[in-house]
Amino acid sequence: MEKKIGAIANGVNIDHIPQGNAWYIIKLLKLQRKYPVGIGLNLPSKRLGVKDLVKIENYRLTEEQLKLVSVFAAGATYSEIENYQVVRKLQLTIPESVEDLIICPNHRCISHQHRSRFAFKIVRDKIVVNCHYCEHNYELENLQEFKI
Amino acid sequence: MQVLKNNGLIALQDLTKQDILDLLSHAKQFKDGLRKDTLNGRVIASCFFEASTRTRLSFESAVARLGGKTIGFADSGATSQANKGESFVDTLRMLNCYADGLIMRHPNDGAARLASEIMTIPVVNAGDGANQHPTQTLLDLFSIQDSQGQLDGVNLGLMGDLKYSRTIHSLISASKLFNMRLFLIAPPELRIESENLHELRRHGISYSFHSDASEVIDKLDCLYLTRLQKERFNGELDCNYGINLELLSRAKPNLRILHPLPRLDELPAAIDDTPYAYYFQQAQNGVYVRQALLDIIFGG
Repeated sequence: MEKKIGAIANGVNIDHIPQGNAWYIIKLLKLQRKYPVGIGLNLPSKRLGVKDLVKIENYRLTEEQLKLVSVFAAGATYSEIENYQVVRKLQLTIPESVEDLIICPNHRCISHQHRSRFAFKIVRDKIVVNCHYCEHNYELENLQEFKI
Repeated sequence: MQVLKNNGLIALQDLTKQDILDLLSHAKQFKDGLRKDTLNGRVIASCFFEASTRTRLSFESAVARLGGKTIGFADSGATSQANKGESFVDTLRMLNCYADGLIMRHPNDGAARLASEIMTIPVVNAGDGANQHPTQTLLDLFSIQDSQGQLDGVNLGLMGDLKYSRTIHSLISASKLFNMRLFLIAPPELRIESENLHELRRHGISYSFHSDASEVIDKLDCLYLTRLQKERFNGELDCNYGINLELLSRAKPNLRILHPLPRLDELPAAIDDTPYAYYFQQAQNGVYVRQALLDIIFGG
């Protein structure tokens, strides 16, 4: 379905991001000083009550970036836009696992010497991130460093 | 025991309750005098990237008693990894060419899991950082079973660093399989963390908190004591930590004291000659449990 999105002629629109997670997406995509970025925080949403929104001009996410963004934006809508038209639209879901994208916060973890692997599960309504190697569980806000 | 055969052992949670009971039963056979030469003609790499005298010697004793030979090192100081910058992964690939199995201790969490993914020979985790030390937990379970005749329903006191101790965490995790009653004895600074408590509640395990062993000594079947790692906390602890002969005068006759060793002041030598002392037998049990494990992995 074609749809015009705001003022973005070309780029991506990530809508319905869980409240508070837009900053993670900006940080992990390292967008702070590169592309024109529009950030909406605490916007009213019929689906979520309150949501965040990120629009990035002249940008496409790689499949690896998309996988990692999905961790922080489960349920969000990702749209790619060309000449004001939506050319690709996805609903983001939490991946079962990601390989070598997250740097384990445990500095003693062996993944620092090889590749990291993390699995995701929901525990008491929260996303818990589990390191395949050191077996530590983390909440999303504890993840600070990424490989993309 | 298909999970172990030709595969090795990385973490206790890789085993079912029945796997554990079968392994303990096999260890009992070795304790009762079973002799096998399963490792005859095999070379086992015993690689300790950090020192652990007790674990290394009991593993190497188990290999020798099964007829095998060991190669390896007692700490990583003299290796090419330490002196020439060889990567850990390359070291593993090299070891894979020289041995039929690897027994590995490593200071980094998850090192054994990584080794098992890179190598084609069986890997046995002899401790990976603060993460897992499955054969310690297996020998602890064997010692509880051997001293009490059962695991289910045992009143187990866990005393010491309940917050940080890998040994304690692993034993608590295993207790969920055997419906033990836990008495958690620690100063407030070193109490078990809420994530572990949630797991105990989820599995219906009964537990209570105590700041002093004297509150529960007359109820315990086993008291598992650990050394306080003083680097873990600042200042003095406001508690009466440790046990003594006076305290044991109120103990049940079947009480047995376990300790992973080495010990400090918490376990005075005066207790060694009492019937309650089980910690040296516990260390000896480590050989039988490791014999049983290696026998299953390499022969069955």
